[in-house]
Amino acid sequence: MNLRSHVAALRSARTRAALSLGVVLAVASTGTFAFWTDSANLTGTTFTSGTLDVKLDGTLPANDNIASATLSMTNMVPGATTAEVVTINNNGNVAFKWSLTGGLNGTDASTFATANAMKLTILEGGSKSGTGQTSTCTGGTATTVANTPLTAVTSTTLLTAQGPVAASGTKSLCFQFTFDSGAATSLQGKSLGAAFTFTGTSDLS
Amino acid sequence: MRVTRWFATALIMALVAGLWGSPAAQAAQRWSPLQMSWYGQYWHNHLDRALFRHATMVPGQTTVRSFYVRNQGDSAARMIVKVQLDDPRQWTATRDFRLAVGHDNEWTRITADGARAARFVVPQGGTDQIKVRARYRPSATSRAFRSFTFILQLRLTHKGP
Repeated sequence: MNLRSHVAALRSARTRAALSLGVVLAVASTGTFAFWTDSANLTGTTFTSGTLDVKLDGTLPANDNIASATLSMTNMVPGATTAEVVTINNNGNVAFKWSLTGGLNGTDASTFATANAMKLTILEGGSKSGTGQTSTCTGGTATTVANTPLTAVTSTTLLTAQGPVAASGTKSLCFQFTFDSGAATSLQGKSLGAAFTFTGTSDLS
Repeated sequence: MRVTRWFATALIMALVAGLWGSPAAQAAQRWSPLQMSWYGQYWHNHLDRALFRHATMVPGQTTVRSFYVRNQGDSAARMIVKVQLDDPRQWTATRDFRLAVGHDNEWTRITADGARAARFVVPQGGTDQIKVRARYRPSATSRAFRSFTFILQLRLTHKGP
């Protein structure tokens, strides 16, 4: 066998080997189903902590605290009333239910509380009617706070589990204070204030 | 000789291409031993939408979602569920938040590093329910914004006879 014939034989052998490999691959590729692994991914989600933010009165971002001058009564007499609409704003991205606590404070708060002389009415969605010491709340929906005497403890619960107020939503409440028409003359020349706190919770149950 | 080499190469390529494109191979590509379903009724190779829809969590909130897996292989197989977490603020590592994967009434908490959440055998043709639970502790008071993303990785393996 000369060199040329020898090279040709080698190439022939390589060709046969390659062909055989192809057959082996073909057999192997059709026989792997007895040993398999299958995978899949499932997107969970992105969990994000919600924000809960109670604001009062006004276009967002509104206020955490407001002081009302409109509700003030100077030289009030028995039967005097004053009213104002307060708006609760949900500045968060989750709904909340709200509760309200409040009561009288100031120098003579206890005297007025003992006499049940200062009463509060809250109407959901109510509006203010009249001016000065004859202004009242009208319309809206009655709440459980209806001509309710205020105590001298500002943490007294007035309304609980109200709402919910949706994210970016609002709720208007009309507050009406009434100096009891049967107040004793001993309450002359006294002064007092009132403070209220709205608390929001994400617990909607 | 060049003709022989060219012919051999072409023959191998044709053989491989023929196998790849044959109806049997195409069927194998479509066929998947691991099947998934939201409610155990309609089965798919994968589920497109995310497991949870409403993902904004507030304290006191617990949310659970589940899905089903089915082994349509030719024998029983082992299912491994892993969770891949992207939790840069380590929310899942705090006491406030709990993420857990449940199977067969057993829950495995998933922490910031992710974990092998469940491992079980699915009989041939069998189905199993997998649950994921997220719980934001009611007494959580942190006001810091937190966020994390996760992916469930499912692997069904049959090791042969």
